[in-house]
Amino acid sequence: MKKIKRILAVLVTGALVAGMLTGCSSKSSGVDESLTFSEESSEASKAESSSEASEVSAASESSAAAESSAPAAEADKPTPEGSGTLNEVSANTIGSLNPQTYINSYASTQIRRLSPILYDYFVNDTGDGIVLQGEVAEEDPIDVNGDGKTWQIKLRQGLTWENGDPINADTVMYTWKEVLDPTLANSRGGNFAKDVIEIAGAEDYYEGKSDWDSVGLKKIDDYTVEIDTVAKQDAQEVMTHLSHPANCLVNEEYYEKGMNADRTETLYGTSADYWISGGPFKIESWQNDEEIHMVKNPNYVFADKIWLAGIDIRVVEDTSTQMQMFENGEVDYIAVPADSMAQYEEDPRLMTSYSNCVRHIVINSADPDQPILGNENFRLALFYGTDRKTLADMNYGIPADYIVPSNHIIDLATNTAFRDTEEGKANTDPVNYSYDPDKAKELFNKALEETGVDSVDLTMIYNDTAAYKAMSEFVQNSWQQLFGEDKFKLELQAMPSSQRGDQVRSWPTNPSAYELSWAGWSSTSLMPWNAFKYWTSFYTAKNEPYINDEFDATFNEACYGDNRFDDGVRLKDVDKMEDMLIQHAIIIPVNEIMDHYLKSDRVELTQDGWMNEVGWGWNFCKIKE
Amino acid sequence: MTFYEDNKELYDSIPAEKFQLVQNNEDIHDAAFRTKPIGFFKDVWLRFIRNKASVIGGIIILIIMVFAAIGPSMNSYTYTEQHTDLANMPPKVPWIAKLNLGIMDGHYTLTKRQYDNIKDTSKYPEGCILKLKNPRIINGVKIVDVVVDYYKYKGLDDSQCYWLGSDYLGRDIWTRLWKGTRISLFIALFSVLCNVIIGVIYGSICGYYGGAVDMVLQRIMEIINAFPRIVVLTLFIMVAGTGMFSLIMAMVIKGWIPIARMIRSQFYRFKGHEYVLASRTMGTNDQKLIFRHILPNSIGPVITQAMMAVPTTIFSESFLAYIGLGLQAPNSSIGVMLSTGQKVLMQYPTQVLYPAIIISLLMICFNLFGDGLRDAFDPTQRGVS
Repeated sequence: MKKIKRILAVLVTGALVAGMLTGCSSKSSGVDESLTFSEESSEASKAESSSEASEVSAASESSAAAESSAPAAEADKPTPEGSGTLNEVSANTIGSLNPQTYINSYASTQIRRLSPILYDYFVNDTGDGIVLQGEVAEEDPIDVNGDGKTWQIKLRQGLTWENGDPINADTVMYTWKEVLDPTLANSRGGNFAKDVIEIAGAEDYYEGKSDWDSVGLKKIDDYTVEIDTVAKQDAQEVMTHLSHPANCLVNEEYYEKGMNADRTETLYGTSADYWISGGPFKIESWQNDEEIHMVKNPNYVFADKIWLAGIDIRVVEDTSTQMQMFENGEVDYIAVPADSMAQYEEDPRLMTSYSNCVRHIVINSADPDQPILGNENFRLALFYGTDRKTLADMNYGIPADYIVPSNHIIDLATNTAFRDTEEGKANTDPVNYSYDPDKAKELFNKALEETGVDSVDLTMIYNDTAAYKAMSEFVQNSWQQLFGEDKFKLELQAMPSSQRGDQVRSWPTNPSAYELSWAGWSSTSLMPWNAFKYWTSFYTAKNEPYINDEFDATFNEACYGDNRFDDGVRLKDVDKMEDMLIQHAIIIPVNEIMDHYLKSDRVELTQDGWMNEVGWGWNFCKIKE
Repeated sequence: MTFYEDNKELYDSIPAEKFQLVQNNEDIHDAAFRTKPIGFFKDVWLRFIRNKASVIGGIIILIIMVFAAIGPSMNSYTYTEQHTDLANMPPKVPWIAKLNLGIMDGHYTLTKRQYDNIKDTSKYPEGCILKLKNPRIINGVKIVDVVVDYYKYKGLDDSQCYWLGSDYLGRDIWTRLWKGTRISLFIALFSVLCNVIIGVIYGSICGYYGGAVDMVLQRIMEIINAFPRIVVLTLFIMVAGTGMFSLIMAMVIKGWIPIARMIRSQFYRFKGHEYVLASRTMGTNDQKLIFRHILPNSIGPVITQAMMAVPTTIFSESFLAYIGLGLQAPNSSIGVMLSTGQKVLMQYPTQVLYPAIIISLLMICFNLFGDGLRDAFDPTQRGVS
């Protein structure tokens, strides 16, 4: 018995060694000049490919088209049911589809897919630009009195929810009343009251200081509503304000069905039982935290622009599993995480776009436990001590010592980005991206002198994802090296994104909720001035301690000032606000995130690449079978 | 007696002078032992070394401990030293690379490279390309997978190498691995020590005094034990914050209970023995009875149980690190390395391989070692062979 075992062992070892040797011999053959290239999906390539090809299975990549679906009719117009299902994967879960309380952009994307909205951005008919136009609204808002303060919106007739209930002025009025409701205190209410436009009396009602009759929102007839604004606005601004995904319309029956007894909370949008669709797509099945299956809504007003029969989204938290799913053809497109980019940087399928946001380090400068954070020289030391180039390279992003992202357009008429203007360029250092270690050290020592402390001990909280972990560890190491480990110590504290978010958002009630953290606000790319609302003193979800009257005044001038349409006023205001935040190191901009996507061959986009506000236009893509 | 009674005449007829004493000039002794006398621990040791598996386990543990002590200082890197331009380097050990085994040679396959760039020496320095494979056309572009000598590809000379590769910030995995092993072992051993101390005291009091004291203390223990281990660990870390001290404390919350139980049963077994009663009758105080007379009987089971607890604790630490509740950056532990390595399993499998090997070895070896100890300490085995 023992002998047999021994013989077996020898045989197995022999086989292993033989395997290793053959592996070696093939490796030493050097660069092969005579390679035969063939199309991946063709049958021939599979037959021709050498035995090594099995390492990266060609078959697996070409099986993407295996999805069974109705044969695509080669027509100019989509059929009412559409054809082909778009398979998506997401690391996020929806939580709630209630547009008035959602918290992340993934949720808002799904809300927009499933809900009707008054106005939204669409790709124009030629597919090379965007238009802001009515969806539930029939046409642009009408300036009734000619003073730019009273706007009437005509609604399309005959629009319905998926159960056949009409969408009309009552739907719009109900939505507006609930979003501002002081008892519900929806987190999105403040933004609706005052963002791009300020609705008369809305903020007071939201804060419970007045009653509904004093709010400047009125129903004129079944298909007309009216908005009174505080300042003079133009139609574009009114439409932009209403196109925010938080202003998607809600269904009264289902909203009330989920309402609790004392009307402080509604279950609307938390499960399929409390949801009804009325947007481009409708929900067929939905298991939160697992998957959501949507099908085309044939009654959608622009149903003739939707080619898809449906969208399947699966929740997979692990990004490397996601990449594997894409490689296996289970997913049609995917955002490539930074740690996988090394594998795909030369892939011809790679599509890159701006993500509309500058990632920055937030400083709680009013933290009573850490007075050093209130010292401007100290904050500037951190600002100049941040090696943005290295941080950006780690994530395949763009180093940013500025706040307004590169794709933000300051002048719609000429399509000029703020960063391309003289003013925009003046705020940045294109060579070292404001990384100046000597200056940083000098400022740091000055700050220590001014505050009379010997050493600084800070804590930074970050989302427990690969990118933030790497960046935080790099910042920790480089700052400690720069300022000296005996004088500066940075503790890191990883936490799940929801927990970190809660902790930062608890700042209004707990002034030492955090010391340093990361953030990246995304905002309307066609209104760079609007992006500064996060630092105004009146921002409702404010969790950063910056309060400055001059800043508020500049913001108000850019958004509501009488002279704001004059040439160069907004440009000057944006420049001033950006300068104020950077000069005093209120935040430390680090890099602009770039989004990298891979798209499978079976998906065909119907627009010319990525565009501001509409992105890649996945909702409007076609599936080739 | 009866023999003499029955034959009285016959015996009495023999004259007294015919009798002679046998050992007139000698003292009477027991025969001397031919073998050497052995004590308790010697006996344990003899039985332990007969168990080959546990000896090997013990040796491997020892080797790992030695490396944990000296490993981080075996090369020039420190565990926090970052080289972001040299992130995710493949493992390379010069003498293994020379053997051409296909492992630890610094080779790496760059996937999906454009064929047209292959000749570009600014991208691929002279001589770094070893092989092109898997040629195909994607979207009309010629694509190949390129096997490169990654160290040459990054423009390094032959002298610089990462033995086990580098991680996402270009930190040396060898250094971090042994540093992490050191920390994991420290946490495990220290928390087990705390468990033993608490368990022994608690169990002794329960077992020795019995009655109402035992009744109350046992109920308290049962309440603590009723909460699921993972839940308690997670909640404790969330409340107390992460860090080495709170990790150790988290392991202690429930860890002492098995030891306390075992000690209690030992006390019940021995406290009624005659030698204890005798000592008590002579006025020995409780403390001396507990620690001098009864506790030494339990030393074997305690050591065994402590050894068996070490791998469980290492595993718990890894689990906590894995779900993000372990040590905070830049500290490393086996769990931290597994957790970060797993995220890039598909691209850089070696980053998870080495910590996985170490933790597997530690788990297996501590179990084998503990098994051997248990057999060796087993009193029923004593003197059997």
